[in-house]
Amino acid sequence: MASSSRLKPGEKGKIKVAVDVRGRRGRMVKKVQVSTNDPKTPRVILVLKMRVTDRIHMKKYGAAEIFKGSCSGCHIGRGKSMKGFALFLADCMTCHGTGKSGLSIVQMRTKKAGEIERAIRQGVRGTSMPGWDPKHGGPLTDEQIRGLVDAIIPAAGGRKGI
Amino acid sequence: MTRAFLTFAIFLSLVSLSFAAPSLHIRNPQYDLGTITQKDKAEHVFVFQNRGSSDLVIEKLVPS
Repeated sequence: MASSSRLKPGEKGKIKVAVDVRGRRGRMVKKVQVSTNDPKTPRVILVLKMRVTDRIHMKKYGAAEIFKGSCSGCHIGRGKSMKGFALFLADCMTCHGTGKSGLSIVQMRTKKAGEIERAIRQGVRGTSMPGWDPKHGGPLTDEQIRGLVDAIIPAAGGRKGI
Repeated sequence: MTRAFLTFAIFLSLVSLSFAAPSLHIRNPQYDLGTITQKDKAEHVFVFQNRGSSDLVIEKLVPS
C-alpha cells in the first residue's frame, strides 16, 4: 500500500487505501493505522469515509442473473471449486450473511435436508434464490450441492457443518 | 570505565534522538470520498512527507 517504507528528510510518499464496496451499502469508514519511527507521533490513523449507493441491487433482475457478468464475481467467483462449508462461506454468504436478504443459516436449520436440497437445486420461486443445479442453469456440481446440504444440516450426511 | 562509556553512549543517543528526528506530516489524514456506487473504485491516495531531519521509516500499516 505504501510507495516506499523509508523516506529521507523532505521526501514525499504515498499510501493507497482501497476498499472493496461490492455488495455494500450505506456509510462506510475504512481506517488504516500507520506506525512510524516519528518520536512525537508514532501512530497516525488514516480515515477514508464514503457513502455507497446500491444501484445494482435496487433493480429486480431474474434470480439467475447472479451467475452472469459482473455479478458472478461476488456470487459464484469466490467459491469456485470449493466444497462444503467453505463454499457456503464463499458464495452463499453473499446473500445469506447477517443483515442480507437471504435466509440465515439458523433459519435454514429449521428446515428439512430435503427442502434445503430442493431449494439449492431448483431455486425458490418469487425470491432471488436461483437454482444452482446445472439442470436449472446453475454452476454447481452434484457433489458441491450435496456437500452444501451436509454443511447446512449436519445430520443429513452425518458430518459436522461447523 | 565501561560505565562512563555507557553513560556517554546513552547521552549521545538521546541527543541524536532529540535533534535528528523524523517527522511525519500528512496533509489530510481524513478523506471523504462522498457518495459512490458499488461499481466505483473506492480508493484514495494519502500523500505524506518527512518534515524531520532524519530518515522516516514506515514500520507498519494496520487496516481496521
